[in-house]
Amino acid sequence: MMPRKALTNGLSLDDAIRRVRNGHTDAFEVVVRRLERPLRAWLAVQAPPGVDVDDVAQRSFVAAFARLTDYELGTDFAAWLFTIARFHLKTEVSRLRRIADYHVRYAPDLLQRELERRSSEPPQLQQARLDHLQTCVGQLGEHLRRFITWRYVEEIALDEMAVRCGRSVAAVKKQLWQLRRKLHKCVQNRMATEGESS
Amino acid sequence: MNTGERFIELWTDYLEGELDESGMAELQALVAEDDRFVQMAADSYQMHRLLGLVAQDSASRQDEFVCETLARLPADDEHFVDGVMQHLSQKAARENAVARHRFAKGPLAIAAAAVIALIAGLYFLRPIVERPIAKVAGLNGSLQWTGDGGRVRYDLSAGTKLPGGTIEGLTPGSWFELEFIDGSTVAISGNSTLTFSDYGQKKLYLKEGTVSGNVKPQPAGKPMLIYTRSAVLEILGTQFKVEAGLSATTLNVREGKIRVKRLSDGNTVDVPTQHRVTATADQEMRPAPVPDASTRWKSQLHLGPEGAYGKWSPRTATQDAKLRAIPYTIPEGFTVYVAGLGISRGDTPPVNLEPGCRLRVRGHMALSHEVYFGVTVRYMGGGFAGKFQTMRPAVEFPGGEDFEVLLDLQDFRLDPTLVEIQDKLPSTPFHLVLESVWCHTLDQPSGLEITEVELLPPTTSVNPAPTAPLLPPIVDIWAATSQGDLKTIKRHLAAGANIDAAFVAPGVLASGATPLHMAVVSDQREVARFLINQGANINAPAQDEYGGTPLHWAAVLGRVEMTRLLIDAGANVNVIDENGYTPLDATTLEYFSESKYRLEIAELLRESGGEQKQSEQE
Repeated sequence: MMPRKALTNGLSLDDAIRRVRNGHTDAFEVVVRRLERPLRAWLAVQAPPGVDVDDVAQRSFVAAFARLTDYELGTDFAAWLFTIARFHLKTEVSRLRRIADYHVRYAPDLLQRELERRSSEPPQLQQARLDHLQTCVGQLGEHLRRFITWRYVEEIALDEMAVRCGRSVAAVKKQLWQLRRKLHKCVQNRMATEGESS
Repeated sequence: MNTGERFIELWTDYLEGELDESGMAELQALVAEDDRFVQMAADSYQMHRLLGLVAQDSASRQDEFVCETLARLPADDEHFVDGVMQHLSQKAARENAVARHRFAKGPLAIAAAAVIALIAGLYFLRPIVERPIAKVAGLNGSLQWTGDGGRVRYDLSAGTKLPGGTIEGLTPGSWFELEFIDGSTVAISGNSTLTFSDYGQKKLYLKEGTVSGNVKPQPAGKPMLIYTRSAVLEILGTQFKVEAGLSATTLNVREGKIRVKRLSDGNTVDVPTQHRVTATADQEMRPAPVPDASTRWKSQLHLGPEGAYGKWSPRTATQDAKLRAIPYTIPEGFTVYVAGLGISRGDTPPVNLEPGCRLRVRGHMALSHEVYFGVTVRYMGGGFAGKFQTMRPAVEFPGGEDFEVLLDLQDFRLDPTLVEIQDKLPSTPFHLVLESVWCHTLDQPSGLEITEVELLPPTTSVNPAPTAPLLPPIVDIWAATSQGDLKTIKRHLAAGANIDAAFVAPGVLASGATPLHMAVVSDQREVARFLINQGANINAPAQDEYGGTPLHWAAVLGRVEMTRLLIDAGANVNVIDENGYTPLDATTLEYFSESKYRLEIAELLRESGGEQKQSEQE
């Protein structure tokens, strides 16, 4: 594999696609590196529980690779890829819905409908949200950020978190809820400010 | 509990995977009756998913994703090609049968050839992809991984998937364990260089250093192969340790059997359980039982630098052979000056550490500086068992003078960089094999040289090295803490002082304080941080009638930053003192500090889940 920077710095998406079509299939790495983050972010917020987001993202890339000749150079490749991903996600969700007890086990029906409603938001929005979220997490005090680390990086159990911070499990749950709310507000504020300034 | 609170409770349980069927039904009903809950649930869910993404958003995760994605492309092509080829061969078989009766049609044959050529073309045009063959199971110290094309990475972490390549330990304390997809593990330690690959058969190339392994049964006819400069080892599934130097390879087999082939003459021997062999050109290659372990060892630097890390100088008429610490700059940016010696090497008996063992180190310092001494230990089977270290204060190493220190291994603590895997490691270095001894200074070149290291067994009596007299520890620590004198505190702790001992002097202000309480009183945050890192009990009650913890004291005294430090370090925010007060209650005690500080502290405590018990009771 070539050094990442050498690959990503040099080629535009269309250049990379052109190279893939000309037989330099390793140039597809440029496409994957360039778009994996926005695609995974978009899928992460649209996919209901039970969907393996990375798997859908990878299948979308594979499908795009297989149908690369269908893509019209000079148009928006990202939009084309997201259309493929939307199709794959829909297929996966349909498959899950057919599982008899899916809603009982995995997802409140109304949540899923709300996520579907939100899926019409432009895909680029989620990339921006992700960027703002990183900033917002960075602005948290260490005493709050540690909960994010425990829950999402170390993925430890709630009772272990409770032991580590000397609080009850119920208090930890409440703290996580408040943190998500706080971060949601922070992201929304930053998006609004960005919208005003642009 | 109102519906809002109930929704939060159920929803959090849902996100944590702790909601049962009846809870799910209740949640469904709640969100159905109030659209605001649907919005809140969706917001919270999307935030939850994005946080998951932020948490794994790293260069290594991106590499992993890209690798996995690219690996699926050829897999799909192969499937496609295989499918078509299978179809073609059946078709060809049918056509062959027909051909017995009539000649194949020329144009069809050309078309079939074209299809095969096209498919073959597709196959060979597959992207060249580095498939992960193993993942990092554990690591410590400075390491460098080099992949195909010379790609170099230092940012490895446990769980990173690797597609083969070369891993190098850069210092005597380096350790790296790799887990192959079949669960086989191999580990290097110290200054070792290992190249690994798996194209249907695992092949390892040990340029120098030590590799140990625990290998699952390998496919028939495809044993794991380890190449060194002097031998090839064939491993079907076993526990072993291999050590390779320029001219010799030494193999210790703990379990199973390994075939060793000496490269110089092709001579082959099988090494059974609990046996070892050395493959070198100038001696007979005959397996022998692993010798009994020893608890005594002495360096022999005058014989040469083999196994040593540092700049070696031979013995002269006026000075002993010595090893000078050499700098190594860690990618994080700071420099350590390290000298080290490999032990339990080659065909010498393994050296075991037992309780009561001590290390005597002799050497020279150009400039006075505190020195860290450490040992790396392994299990009898070869697996890494940890690094343990102790620090001796600068006062014991006067500049421009020779030194001799006697280190009780009882004082050695697990290397702080291993704290994340401490549950998997022993808590002491005892009953383990001594792999290496090392010492270093931090940040400044102080001209550290060692001339002799000796492991003394438990019964040996020695004349202790002279040290400057110490005041009674707790009195001295008390004074040192209030002055932020870390050196004196370190010196006492190195000499064995109890880090949580309280200074009790009835009538004296702050009587009953542990050193950490004292750091709070004098607002010495660096000292507090050091004490906590050294294992001070962050929730220790003061030995007075109130029994307040350092957090209580910080709250009462209005130490805002100290409060933050203690909370971040994991202090219990709802601990109760002898009065039944929590730290938040303590902020209501008005006569100790200004209200603005207490209000700020109260807010900090509340944010962290602090509760006010006293007011509830009253």
